[in-house]
Amino acid sequence: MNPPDDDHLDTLLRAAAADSRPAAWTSDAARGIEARVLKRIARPESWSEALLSMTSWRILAAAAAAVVVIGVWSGRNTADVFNEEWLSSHTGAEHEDGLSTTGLDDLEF
Amino acid sequence: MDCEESMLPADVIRSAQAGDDGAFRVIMRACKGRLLGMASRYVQGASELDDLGQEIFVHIWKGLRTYRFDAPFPHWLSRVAVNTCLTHLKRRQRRWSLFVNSEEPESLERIADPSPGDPEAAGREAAERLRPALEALKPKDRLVITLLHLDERSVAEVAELTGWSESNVKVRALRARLKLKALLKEYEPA
Repeated sequence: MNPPDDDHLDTLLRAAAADSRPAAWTSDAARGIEARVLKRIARPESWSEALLSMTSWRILAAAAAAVVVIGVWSGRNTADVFNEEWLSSHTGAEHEDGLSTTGLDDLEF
Repeated sequence: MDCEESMLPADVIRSAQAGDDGAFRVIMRACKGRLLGMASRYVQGASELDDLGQEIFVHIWKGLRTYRFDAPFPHWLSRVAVNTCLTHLKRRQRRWSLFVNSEEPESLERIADPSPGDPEAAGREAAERLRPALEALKPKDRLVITLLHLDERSVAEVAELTGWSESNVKVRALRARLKLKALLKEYEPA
């Protein structure tokens, strides 16, 4: 086989255009495809399908949205640590349950 | 029924746009031959073509409401099919680059020279010789080579199907041919 020049490439492409297999695949795949498509569009898209069908800008948008959501969520939690009201409301719940450790000294054994 | 403008009445298209799957079935039945035939150049068998064909029709279904009757319906369908084929090629290339570091081209030595007396075998053998080089091309380069040389469409038709300008199609085709020649040289034993 010789390395292809322009003529060789054109000959190869013309011969490949006459390949009959794609026509055979077409008639095989066409058989009953309407039912398979209608079944597919009747059910909701699964998560894996949605992820696989994502184009690059969608992946970027999803990643950006995840960063924003996590940022907002973790930002609020970080703020809660320095929030006296939040701290007292959470520690105060323990007093209401009677589980406070402050009265241990008053207990008689 | 054939996938021609005259064979797909506007009321069938409007019903499908409104969500009537019976009308959509009529469109699929009329156009599956044309659209699957276009897609068949980008796959390696009937099973992959079945998946790609379903993908094309799902995209058509989802985008049907955006069709405004400003272009012939079969052209619009073909454009959706070409875009879906391009996405399929990109996705396949991405998967390969993720899982395979260096795709070894299939050995061409096992493929005999085309038999002069058997055009069917010659076509199959030529397609097999081209396949590894086509697979190695960038998706858009492969698309333009396939549309121009394997589907034997004109530059104007390719421009209409892809949405690129005619000069863009010509430049891309020229570059793609050069790449294809280089790849064939690389893959074929001297």
